[in-house]
Amino acid sequence: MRGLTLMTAVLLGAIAIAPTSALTVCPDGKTFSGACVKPELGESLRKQVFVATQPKISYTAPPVLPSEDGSYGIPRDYHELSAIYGVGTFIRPAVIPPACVPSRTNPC
Amino acid sequence: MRRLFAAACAAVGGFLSAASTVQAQPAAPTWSTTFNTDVRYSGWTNTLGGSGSQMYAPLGVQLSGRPNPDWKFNFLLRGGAIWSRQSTPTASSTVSTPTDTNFTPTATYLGWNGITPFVSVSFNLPTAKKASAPNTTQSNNKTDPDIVPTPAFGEGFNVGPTIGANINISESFVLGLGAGYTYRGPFDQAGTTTLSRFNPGDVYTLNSTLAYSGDLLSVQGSLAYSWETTTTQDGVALYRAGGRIIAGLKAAYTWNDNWGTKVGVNYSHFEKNYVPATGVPDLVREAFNSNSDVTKLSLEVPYTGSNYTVGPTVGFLYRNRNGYDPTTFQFLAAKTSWNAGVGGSIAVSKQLTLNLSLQHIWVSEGGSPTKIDATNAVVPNSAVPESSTNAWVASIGGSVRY
Repeated sequence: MRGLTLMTAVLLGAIAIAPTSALTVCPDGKTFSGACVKPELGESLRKQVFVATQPKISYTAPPVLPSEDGSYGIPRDYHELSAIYGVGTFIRPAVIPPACVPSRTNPC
Repeated sequence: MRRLFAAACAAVGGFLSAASTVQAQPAAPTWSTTFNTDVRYSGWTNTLGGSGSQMYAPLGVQLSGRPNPDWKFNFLLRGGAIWSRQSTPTASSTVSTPTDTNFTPTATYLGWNGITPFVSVSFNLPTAKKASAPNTTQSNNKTDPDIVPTPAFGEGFNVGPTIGANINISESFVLGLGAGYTYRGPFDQAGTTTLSRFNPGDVYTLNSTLAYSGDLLSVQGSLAYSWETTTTQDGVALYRAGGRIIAGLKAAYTWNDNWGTKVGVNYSHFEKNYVPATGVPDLVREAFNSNSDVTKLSLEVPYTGSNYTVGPTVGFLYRNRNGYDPTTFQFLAAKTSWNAGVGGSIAVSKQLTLNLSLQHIWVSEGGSPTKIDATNAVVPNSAVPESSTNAWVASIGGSVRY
């Protein structure tokens, strides 16, 4: 905890003394030369990075707005769904054709 | 400790006041709130005599603001409800439950030239109902995760911090880098015969995403690698998932004022899992990879009018081969899935947007022969027949922003 607090202080201190482009207020980030990055580009990229780094934070409530589920969907871990939740585990139907027993006349 | 905390707070306060003085024309503090929902209905039948449906009604609220020219904050709160029903030729079951609740604050620092760092912490609060009693027909069985939005209900308290940065190469070209950790808390979950306490493995993930946004063309490519700690069941190691690679590419092109095209490709691959082995205390790497590679393609051709967008959508999913877990005799069939439909949105006013979509999905899953266990004994009734599933997925949603 002490280390975390120190790290936070150092990080924020470093940000505070870092050089800034004093006269430009951009909608979302600046290039190294001080030009403004397209705002929708910076925001969508940040969201993509964030969602991609939290692939298993929640099955039912992922950390995006509901309308963004499709755009930022993460492929499912089928093995986990099967091992913990039983999803995809095959359940045999009640009526099962009699099993074929191999014989000389019927090799199945 | 208090002194250190005070020093940190002083650093924050000093920084905020200093940052605000270096701006010649500080922007007025602006905050916006977005309410968003997207209710989805999925209904399906398959050739094994099974059928089911699910209604998923998520609701999200996002507060975004820039109290200082150099800082941007987002607070997302998301919850909702699920009603799910499924039946097999032998039984049926239903579940209705609130979803888990997600709270995610994000802070972005915009004061540097060239680099835009951000930090975010996502919380999953376990408000969803879990399968609390052993039940061979629990409703989450056999819900296809590629059809329904939520194939599993209920998990533990999860916390996911992420730290990352956008490297602003040019006004139209940005590289995003991020590292995330997901702590996943334990929870009780009923299987087919017993109630167990699962402690899912924590996840570490690295991601890099490169994006270009031109006047007509925009492209975004993403690559992520995750690795996990061991998942336990009732305190005993169950498995440890192999490393996972997820790659994605999406692009959009605007042909003219009305027509555009969007394409997307996603690919995921798991390395071999680590599983229990008789006579060995530690997990061992499985001999055959019980995971499958999955590839997803999507295509949209939106037509944009004065205040609306509408167009056809097509998708394809391919799971490359059968995966079989010999420790649990669980079989995951190879699969091909197509979907086709139409989707659109309309801006009713400056604040209100509505969206609708309808899709039909055709799924074809492979079969498998009877299994043989580790002692070379035949596992009775372990053969899986081929099957196909037909499904409809419809959604209606809206956003209000002010």
